[in-house]
Amino acid sequence: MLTLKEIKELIRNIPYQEISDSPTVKRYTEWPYYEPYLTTPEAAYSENLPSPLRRVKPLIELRGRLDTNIPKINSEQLLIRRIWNMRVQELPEAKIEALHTLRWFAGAEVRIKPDVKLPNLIVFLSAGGRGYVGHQLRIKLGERAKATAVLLDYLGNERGMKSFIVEGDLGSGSELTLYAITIHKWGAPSFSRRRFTLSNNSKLIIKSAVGGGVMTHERYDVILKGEGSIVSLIASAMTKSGCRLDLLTDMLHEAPETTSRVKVRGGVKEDSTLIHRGVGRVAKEATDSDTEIESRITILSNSGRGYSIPMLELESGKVRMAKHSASVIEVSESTIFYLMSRGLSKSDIIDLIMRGIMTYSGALNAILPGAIL
Amino acid sequence: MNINIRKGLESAEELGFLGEAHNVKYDIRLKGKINENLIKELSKVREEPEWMLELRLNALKWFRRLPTPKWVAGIDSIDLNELALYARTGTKAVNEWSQVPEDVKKYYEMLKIPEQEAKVLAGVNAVYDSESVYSNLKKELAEKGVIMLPTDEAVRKYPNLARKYFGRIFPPTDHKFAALHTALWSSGAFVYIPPNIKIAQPLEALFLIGGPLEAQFEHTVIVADENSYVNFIEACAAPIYRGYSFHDGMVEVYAHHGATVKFTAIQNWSKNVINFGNKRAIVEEGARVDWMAGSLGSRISYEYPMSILKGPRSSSQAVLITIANGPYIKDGGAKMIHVAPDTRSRIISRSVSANRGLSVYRGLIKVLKGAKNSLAHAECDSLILDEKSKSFTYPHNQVDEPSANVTHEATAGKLSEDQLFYLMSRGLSENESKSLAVLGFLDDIIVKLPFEYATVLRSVIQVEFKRIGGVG
Repeated sequence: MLTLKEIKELIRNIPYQEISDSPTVKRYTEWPYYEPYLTTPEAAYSENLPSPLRRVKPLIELRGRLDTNIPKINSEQLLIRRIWNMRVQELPEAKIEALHTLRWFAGAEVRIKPDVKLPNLIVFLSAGGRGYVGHQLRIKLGERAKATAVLLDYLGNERGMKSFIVEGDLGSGSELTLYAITIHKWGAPSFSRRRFTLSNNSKLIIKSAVGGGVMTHERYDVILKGEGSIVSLIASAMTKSGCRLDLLTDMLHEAPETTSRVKVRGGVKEDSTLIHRGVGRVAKEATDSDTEIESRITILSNSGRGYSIPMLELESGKVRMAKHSASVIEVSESTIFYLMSRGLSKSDIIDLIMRGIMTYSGALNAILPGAIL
Repeated sequence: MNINIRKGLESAEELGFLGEAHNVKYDIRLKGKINENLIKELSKVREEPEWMLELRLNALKWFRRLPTPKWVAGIDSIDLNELALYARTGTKAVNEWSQVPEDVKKYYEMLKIPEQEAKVLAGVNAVYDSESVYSNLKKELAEKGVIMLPTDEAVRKYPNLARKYFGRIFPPTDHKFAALHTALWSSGAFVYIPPNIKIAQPLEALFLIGGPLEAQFEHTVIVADENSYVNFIEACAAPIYRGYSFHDGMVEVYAHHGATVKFTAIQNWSKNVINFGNKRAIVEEGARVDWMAGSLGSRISYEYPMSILKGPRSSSQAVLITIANGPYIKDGGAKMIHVAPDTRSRIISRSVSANRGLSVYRGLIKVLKGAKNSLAHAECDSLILDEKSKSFTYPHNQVDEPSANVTHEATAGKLSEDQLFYLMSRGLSENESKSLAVLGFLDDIIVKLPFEYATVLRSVIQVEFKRIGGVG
């Protein structure tokens, strides 16, 4: 077991991720937020969840060191087991990810067996606490399996830091629908990476709702490794007072006839910053592929900031279609006038628009109807 | 009227032939390690004032201090120590064409400069390697107070004016190659348009690299005083040599209240030039700066014209055409910084990659807090003609002002089977159909260029794609 001092020494020379593609921008995630918490002790217990989340009954609960709850199941349909941090892997090149590799302490693996079509939702919960919280989740779908899952990522007002890595592996012909709900508040910066690998003809549908916290770094990497694989990612993102959310959606096409669609709707309230960076990369081998990124950010306050960076990297000329579009706009005068003439106050209108943005992806409606982040 | 300013540029092969016959005699050729002594020597041979030497030495410090940018591919291949950093042909700039040395003159006559100047241009400044060899401005414009001189001459002749603008818009602290440029700059054009003067005909600067392993650091400053108008054309070319050459030029544009500056640049360096273009404009209240750039030649090219919209109601547009035909890298884009309220900007970029070419669009739209009601739009489309070519798009849209509207659109694709089938069913060969589609893809922005340049660009594109097709 490494001590905190040893961990700090190991990651000392690893740099924070920086932008290397731009002459003007160094970083979008404010890494200095993480600095004070690199060696903060682990959280023993997790925070209390807000009431709408308490209604949800998770199958796997990734929490603090003492209250994490992972059932041991090995049925005909699925296998669930706890995994342990062996700390033998090579360290990643980015500081927080390296820190996670060394420090995560609560991890689970879920395998859905081939040809199984799970009738019920599987709910995963990852909750923060006072101190450092590091969670790891592996989801594996066997060939032709089909499942719907909910990923609840909660971080409240307790001081600390959270890192959470999800690894998904979809077998040939399988299909996963994932409702990913992130609710972060002001307590701690968080680093979250969700990496999915898709085999032949598999399909991944992600519907996401993200409410950013003091510094939320949430990154999706979908690797379309199998021919004919498809990914669709629809995200609703919101930031409010003092928050900064850096949402990354990287779609990496590595096989022919693959398709990716990313649609992001963002709302910026009060003094906060919302960043969406999307990459559609089509490798040489990924002929006849199709990639699309659409990013729309609406700024709803006088001190909000919205950054939108949709990127395309086409390494093959034999691409079926590749496009992206982005906009950062305010709500038009005519929309406000129309709604006010129907008796709504300005703050009602902002709430209404926010609700529209947050329900766009469908993630909240499916799990927590009527819930407002 | 059939104007073909750059007939000579159409064929790189022709220029290549000239390149072999190259035997221009140099008076001075500085090369070696870049240090204080070299800078002092350079400043001395150019008879510069003290403040310029200080500026150069300060830039040298920054060159040493600043890191090599990580985002540029292929920059490692430049070895500054093996390049001639300053080369002079032994003649001062003249304003009579007949006085230009014979061996230099033949290059420019190939490009039809004297003939075209008589027809369409209001003034010409021609730079061969590191020095101006010819500079002329129509007499009536000079009488109105218009200045167009080689930059080094302007530094000596109009020290106050030069000091006010030189290195102020694009400071050497910006990045490593801006610092290198300021430390080593030589020649270029200095243009000053007095208030309320509108010049209908374009002014032109022409830059030519005359030999292999040469570095060119020309510095152009354009100052448009209140309510003036100028259309400036910059053309770059180099014959084909066995070694490579390095171009690290800089353009500074200052558009005062209500002025309009149109800057058209056609970069057609030969395929062994590494081109680093630094272009920046400051746009004051109600003024407008338009960049139009055709990036056709060079092995590796990095160029991102930037407009800082400093005054209310100022506006800027960048129209970019990039062709990466062959195993070359074209890294380009535009940057618009909105500082003041009611500012407008627009970026239109079209790139074509073929024959293992890589085209990269790297853009930035930044709306600072307080730039209320600003509007910005960017569209970058790319066309890939074969499986081995690549296209990357990196647009950064950063909005700190909620009342601003920023939109961005991009598409990338190959030629569709339908288009090809349609054209081929009408009797065109596959290659001809491809070339026609390329012209069609670019045409809606070529029509936005000044007429004479649209004609030139079209014919250059036709020649460029002759290798894969047979248009024109």
